[in-house]
Amino acid sequence: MKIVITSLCAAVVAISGFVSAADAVKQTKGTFQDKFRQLDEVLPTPNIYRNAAGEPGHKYWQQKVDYKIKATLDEDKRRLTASETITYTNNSPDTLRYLWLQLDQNKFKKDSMAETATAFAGIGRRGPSNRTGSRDKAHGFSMQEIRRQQYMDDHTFGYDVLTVSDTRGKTLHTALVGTNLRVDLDKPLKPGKSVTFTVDFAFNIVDENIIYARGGYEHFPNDKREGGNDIFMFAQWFPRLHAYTDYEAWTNKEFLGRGEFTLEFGDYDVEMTVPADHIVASTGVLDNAKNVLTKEQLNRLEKAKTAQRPVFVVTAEEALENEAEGTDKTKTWKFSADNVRDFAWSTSRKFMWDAKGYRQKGAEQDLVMAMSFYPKEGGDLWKKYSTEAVIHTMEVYSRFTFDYPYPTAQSVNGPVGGMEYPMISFNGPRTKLHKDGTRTYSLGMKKYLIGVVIHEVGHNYFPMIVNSDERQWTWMDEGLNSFLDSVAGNEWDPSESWGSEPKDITGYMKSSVQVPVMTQSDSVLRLGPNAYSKPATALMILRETILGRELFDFAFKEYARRWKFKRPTPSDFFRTMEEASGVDLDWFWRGWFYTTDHVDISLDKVFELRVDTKDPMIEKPIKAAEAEEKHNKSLALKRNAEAKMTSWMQKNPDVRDFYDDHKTYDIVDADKKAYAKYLKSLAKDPDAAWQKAVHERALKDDKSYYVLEFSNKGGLVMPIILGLEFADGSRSKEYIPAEIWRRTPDMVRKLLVFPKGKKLKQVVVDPDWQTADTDIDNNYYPRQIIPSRVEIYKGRGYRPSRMKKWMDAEKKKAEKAKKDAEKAEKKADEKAKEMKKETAS
Amino acid sequence: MLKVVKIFLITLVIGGLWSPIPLSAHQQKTGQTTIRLNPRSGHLEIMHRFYVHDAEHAAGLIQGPHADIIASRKTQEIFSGYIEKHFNIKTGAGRTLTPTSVGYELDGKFFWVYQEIPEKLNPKSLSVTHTVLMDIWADQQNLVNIEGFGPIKSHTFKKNDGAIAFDLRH
Repeated sequence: MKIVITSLCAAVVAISGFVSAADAVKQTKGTFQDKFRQLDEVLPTPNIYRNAAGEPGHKYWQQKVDYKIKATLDEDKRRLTASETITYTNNSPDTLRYLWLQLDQNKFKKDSMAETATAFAGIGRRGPSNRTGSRDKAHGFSMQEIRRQQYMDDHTFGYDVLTVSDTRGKTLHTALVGTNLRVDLDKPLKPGKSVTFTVDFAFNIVDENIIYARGGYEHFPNDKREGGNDIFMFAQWFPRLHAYTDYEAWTNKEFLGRGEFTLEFGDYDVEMTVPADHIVASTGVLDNAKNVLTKEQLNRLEKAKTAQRPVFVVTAEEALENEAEGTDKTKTWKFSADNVRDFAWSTSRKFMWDAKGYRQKGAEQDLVMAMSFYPKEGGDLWKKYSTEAVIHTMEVYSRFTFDYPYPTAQSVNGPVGGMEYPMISFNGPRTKLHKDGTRTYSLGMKKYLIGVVIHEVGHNYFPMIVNSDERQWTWMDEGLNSFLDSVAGNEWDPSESWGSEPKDITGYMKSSVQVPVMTQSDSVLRLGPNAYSKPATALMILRETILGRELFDFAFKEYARRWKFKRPTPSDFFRTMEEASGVDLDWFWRGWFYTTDHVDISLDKVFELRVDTKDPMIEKPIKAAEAEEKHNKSLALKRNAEAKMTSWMQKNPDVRDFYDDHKTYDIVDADKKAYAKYLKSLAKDPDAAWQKAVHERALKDDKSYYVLEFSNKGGLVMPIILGLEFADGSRSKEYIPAEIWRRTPDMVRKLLVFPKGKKLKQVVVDPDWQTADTDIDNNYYPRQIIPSRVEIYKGRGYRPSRMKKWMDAEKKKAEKAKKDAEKAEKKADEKAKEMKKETAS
Repeated sequence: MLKVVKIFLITLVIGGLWSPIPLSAHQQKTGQTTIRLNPRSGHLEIMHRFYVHDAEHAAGLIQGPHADIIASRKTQEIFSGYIEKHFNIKTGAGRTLTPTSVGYELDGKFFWVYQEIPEKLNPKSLSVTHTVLMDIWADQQNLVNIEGFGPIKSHTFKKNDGAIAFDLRH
């Protein structure tokens, strides 16, 4: 199938125009675009719940939901059966007649919207690979897809037990709507009141590797234990209350798999009954450690609190022993967690467990236990780095936000590549097993582990504590978190590259196939650059270039402080950053978050200027020299002179007149008189005294003046950063704020003034590539040849590899064969013609 | 009329290729290719950029457990050959252009592969096929930007796109 890319530019214009179309104020004449139009026209009106400063208003409210859950894992059947008692407290000013629960497990039902609305071989699917056909190629799907279909045929997923009853056991009326369940209350729930009800539920656990979920189990068939072992990860596993908010009411958008979720804060008491040899990692603190751990394990846990390096609570040997045996007995682990927005856990007999205390002096939570749980497959990679990376995350993120407020922070290895929940994260990297039984890991895998642990543990801050709505605005947690994980990565090992560098986003920014960052998660075309890299890079630029570290860090910390354990929206972030930094950033949010413009500032012209002395004795010789230089540039005249041609004037010297003896730039009496008159006028005019002084000072200073002309080719207004090199070899930098574009967003001129004798030799726009300028070819004056990456690579003395030599030889062979074939064909043709001639004759 | 739909199981092009890879916050599964007309030489230069982390996973699946995209020249060479094989370009008239390999390199968190079409071209349109890593991950997306022919022309290649024609007239 061929698709012709012709109308993309028009499409992007339409996208860019979306904001202005939605604006109440419109430019209806001319083409002027106000890149600095204040954002208040687009943002929701400030109110008593969230104010104009971007902080919670004086009547801010949020609901509270507490859960008591008892869950039992049937390991053999891979099934979870549970009962939860939910206490919902209505802190809103509204009376609620029904509540909405989110049932994310129902996404795995065969008739779910996520399943039925999956386009064949569509983009962005969390699932196996398929292929669409063309005229000469059939549609196809992979073995993985068939495996998934067979697996779905053979199992029933989603909640197959789901009953909701009040505290007296009376069943409440419910309405199931896909992944949502409306629970009709017997009595309307008035403001300030609470309601308690119970949900019994059960579901079959999905195989994460087949279904591509955010939780599930992973099977290890090769373990010594007969039948192998599993690692179970329970995420989005219990019916959870949808958030009820002041800005959207119920946030009950169907769960399609990508846009994650937003929830209410609450307190949790959770009991999990699992095989007795399992180790459970969970959100919260373990309340019955004495019942589930040995004395020695308890001692080790105690020792870990003050250890320099992680201490094993369950050692590798113990984990190996566990995974080789198995048991029919069960144990019940009890965890509690206060003020969390969700609850996740993981269990397996394969887990070893290490821990190290992290002290936050003076913080509300003085001691945080950083812990990691992993199977032998995690190996030394996890032993060395997982728990240390958890602590590093808290050290860096807390500096930018607030002290880590929870008692534990955990990293668990399982089938999920990277996913976050309060106090617990699931991370995928593992070691490689060799034939001799040893395990190693590559540098890439090491970076992956450190990076993913920082990222997922970092999500505790955004959105687990600063509780933004992931399903609506993915960038609010992923973008902010990616920015901070780059900062934390740079502080872990500055010799490695950790991301959010402006130059890395330019290819995406200049492409014509993208949507604005402010797009609902399920509709985003490419989530990685849209919700992670672009907003993270924008924040990096805001910190390093536009606001500077001091202003940015203050404002960012203020945002985190204001919205800690509360629910911000994009407008709260935009307003806080602007209000706390004291810098109007509306243009920045508009450009980077509301449009698909990119940065491309071109330095088009540089003019050199000087002060006009008005003194003919000075000005006329200069003008004469300039005129002569121009005149002498004529190629025709040059060639005539070279050919020693004699002009008519030279041949006829006797024919002369006034003009031959008085050239245009000769100094005549009239010039002198005019200058004297000018000086006299300055002396006479009382207002001219300052002019005279200025004029004289200017002559004395004799500064160098330059006017630089810039055009904005990318549409996104940004500061103009100039690297200046002077004829005397000195260098300096000049920062021109973005506001220079406010009246002429397409082209601006800027006057630069330097001391006497300081002559510009070279000007470079954005010399350190800190604004994500997409085209640096037009950044230089005088223009320079900027070699492409290919040219740079070649210039380094590239020596073709063996494969390259082989490929080139193959190519030559093919070309030779083609030529030979052509020759042979030609010869055959000629022969045929000759034969034809002979036959004819 | 009942249409008979053939179901083709995609054959295992590379051993073990289809083992599932869980999604990860740090596995981007995005590539970027710039096709640029070099104004000086008049040649088309092709620059493929992939995240090292993606390349590492992919190289392991393509070449087996001993692949090491960071340290092994051989792994890099084979992976660069794989990229070149999964990228094709034709003129609008249907003439297949054969890019020559220029080389490959690691640069920070990216693995780059360079190609060049060493002939002066002034095409009105180009037809591009870009299936790199799509045989490994269903959700692999490769952004292609064509530069040097007026406004940048872009397309994000998805698994099933086939050949995409870029109209270069402006």
